[in-house]
Amino acid sequence: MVEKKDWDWEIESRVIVELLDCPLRYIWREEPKVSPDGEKIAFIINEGENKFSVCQNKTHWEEAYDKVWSLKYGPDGRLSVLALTDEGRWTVVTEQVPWENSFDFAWELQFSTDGSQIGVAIQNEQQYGMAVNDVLWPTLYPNANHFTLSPKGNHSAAVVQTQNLSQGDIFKYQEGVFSVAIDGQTWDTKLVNIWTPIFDHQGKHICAQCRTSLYTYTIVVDGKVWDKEFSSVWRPAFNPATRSCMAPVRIGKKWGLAQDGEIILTPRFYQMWNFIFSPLGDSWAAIVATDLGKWTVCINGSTWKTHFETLVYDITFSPDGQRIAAAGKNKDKWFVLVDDQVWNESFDMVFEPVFSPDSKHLAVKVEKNGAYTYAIDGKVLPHSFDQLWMPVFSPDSKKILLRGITENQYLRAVIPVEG
Amino acid sequence: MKRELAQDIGLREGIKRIDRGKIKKAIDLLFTKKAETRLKLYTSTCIHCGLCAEACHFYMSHKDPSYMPIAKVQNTIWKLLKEGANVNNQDLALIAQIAYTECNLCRRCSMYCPFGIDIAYQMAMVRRFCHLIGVTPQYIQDTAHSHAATMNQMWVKEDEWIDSVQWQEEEAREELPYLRIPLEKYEADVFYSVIGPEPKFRSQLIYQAAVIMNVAGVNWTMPATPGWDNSDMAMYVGDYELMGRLKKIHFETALRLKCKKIVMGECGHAFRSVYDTGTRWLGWKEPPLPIIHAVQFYYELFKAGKIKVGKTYPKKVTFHDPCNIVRGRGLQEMARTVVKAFCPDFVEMHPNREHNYCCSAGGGVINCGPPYKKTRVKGNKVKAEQLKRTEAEVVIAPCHNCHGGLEDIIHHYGLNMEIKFLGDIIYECMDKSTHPEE
Repeated sequence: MVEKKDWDWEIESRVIVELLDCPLRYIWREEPKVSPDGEKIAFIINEGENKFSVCQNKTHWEEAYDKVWSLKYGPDGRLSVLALTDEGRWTVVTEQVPWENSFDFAWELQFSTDGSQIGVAIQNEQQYGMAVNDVLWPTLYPNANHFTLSPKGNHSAAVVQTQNLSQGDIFKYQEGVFSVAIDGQTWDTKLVNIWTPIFDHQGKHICAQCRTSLYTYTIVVDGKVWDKEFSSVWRPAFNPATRSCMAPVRIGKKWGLAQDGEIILTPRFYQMWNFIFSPLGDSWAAIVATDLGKWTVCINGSTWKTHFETLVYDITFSPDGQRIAAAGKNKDKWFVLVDDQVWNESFDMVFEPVFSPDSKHLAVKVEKNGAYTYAIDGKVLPHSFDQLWMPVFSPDSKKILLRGITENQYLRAVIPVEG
Repeated sequence: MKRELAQDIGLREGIKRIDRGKIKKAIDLLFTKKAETRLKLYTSTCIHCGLCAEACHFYMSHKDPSYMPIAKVQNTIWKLLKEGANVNNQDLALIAQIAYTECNLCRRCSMYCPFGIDIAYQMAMVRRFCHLIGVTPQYIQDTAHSHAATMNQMWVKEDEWIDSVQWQEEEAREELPYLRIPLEKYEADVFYSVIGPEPKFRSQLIYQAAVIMNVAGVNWTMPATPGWDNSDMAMYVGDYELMGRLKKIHFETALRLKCKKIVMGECGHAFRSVYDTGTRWLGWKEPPLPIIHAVQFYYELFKAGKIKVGKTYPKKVTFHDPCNIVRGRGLQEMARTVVKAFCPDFVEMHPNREHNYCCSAGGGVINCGPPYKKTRVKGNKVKAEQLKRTEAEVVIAPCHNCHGGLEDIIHHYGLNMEIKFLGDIIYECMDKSTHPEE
């Protein structure tokens, strides 16, 4: 793995692949994916009946498979796919090397933060679980959902159905048959429903939304259910500094915030969700609706003055936790919203905002009239692209890596950040 | 009112387990102390004129006054208001039976009420009450459980969904060699969502949609994650918290993929939930992304010349206006434009458009299962007669539940008609020669 600091941050613009409709042999080609450092572009290609492979920088993989899907570059730049072998089994193939294990089905390919650990949801003989780096869970279950790899990739988890339910057995369901399995081992706790298990940064703890009856929602942490119950909850998060758990909760018809089972923000919102902590855990933020169709951002209990009538989405903390950006939408116009200020220009789409490591700059991929570009600190780049990937700041925050396709060329460019 | 309690374990076991403290709390919440102004207004405005009676297919078919909409209100809300927490268990089960299985929430009666009282809303509130006290029909409750566990209504497992889509893509390539169903494609113009029965029982509809998308050159995608199912029996059970959860994951899946708009397959109730009920419950005054029903999508493709008539449909057809997309959204003329273009031998059923009779399956009624089939089918004799008068060979119904309901009626009354989705007709008759190669 090449560290980000060692990527090419010098050459202004470099064409990686000149003619993307290369004359190499394929019948059709699927959507391209590019490596984090921008040096590679890859496609799934079809070379004939039941013959799929991968083309990376105009070079084909040596092996072809009956089917290939879920093409992804991991954070470390390695290229993985899910492939169907000629024995009718699915496996993970990374950099052309298949796992030894194969499965009746595999999906939900995911990576640890550094890319070293690769996880996948699997099904064997109608039993469900996960496999990580070619190691399968020792126990599988009648069904599983919400497959999750910890940030370090040292553990994996899913919500599992612990026993079979006969058709229409509504009362057994309501007694609770769902749990969380971590590396294949379930909690003792069984609940009516569990959703969105979240690992803490160390991968040692898990919190999740749950339902203890059809009417009572709360949060479960490491198998222990909070004492307080609510009329609904949304996805919780661990504070990265203290490991306390917070989640939006609904009492009556209003939403507020609870921490470790206690209300810390009196419910007053029409809606409150997509709760996040700042990287250091000293602040929190959530998207809120102060009334029907009045959307804004709430930070540490204070709401912004700016409201959008259609949507607020993709809230993002700066690395120092002092700034917040989001996408806002009024009717069909998208806007960039940062620190309670709206950038002047509207767009047809605004993607997730990206802060520089020093938190001083903000770059956002935007779309207008079918072309893509970046808006950086409120200024829109003059160049547009047919396809464009998310901006990546250099470690010193002085440059942005741009990866895009224009005029049938895939190029990477390094843009200096003004100011 | 003479009514036998159905053999439904959800109701019969539900009343045995009832916590009577919950009854008063639920009545206070929904019908008295904390009732919505709208409900109070409706309850105090109704003058019991009975003009709603002949709007209801159940009453028109059974000719039993207890099926009049006003009678259903009387035997549910008014009973609860009168008897409060003292209402007996048997009556509670019957209240649930009326609300879930004898009213399709079709809103036809609202059009005939001189005050425009939304009786469907009132019945929905009764269902909400029944959910809160735990007395719900078994089959629809099981569907709601599936929604909560899997985020789809048919217990479709995650791999089964992906496998179904990939299988349909492979099948369709036999017909159009370059066809694709792009899974997880980012920034597509169209996020196409369907309902649980499509991968489970009607996977040919995914095939047909793929052919239409590919021939029309639409930049589209389907997700490989939960969020693909736009349906919502939680709404019809009265579990609004779960309804909101379903709508959130559906919209957030489209938002995750950064798609421009959502196109829904031919389903009526899902459209009601996604476009209206569920979305607003979450706080969205309007959908966060544009969302259109398949009928509107086909109309737009047709008007833009992206789908063309290759051959006309040879049989005599009629068109059934689904309640949720016609009374609920006004898509009747768009539908007719497409139907008439492909089907020269078209005949209207009467009444039609917003005055059309419901299929009697909608509103979650068919989802309450076999115990109620007889009442439902006999309760729509008027629909059978309406269909028969058309002398059509084929009825086009762009809604899944309508298909279920009409199929039962056609079979029971020996009508000898076929039922088609609008997509069936387009797929069969469109000009496919324009299918693009890469």
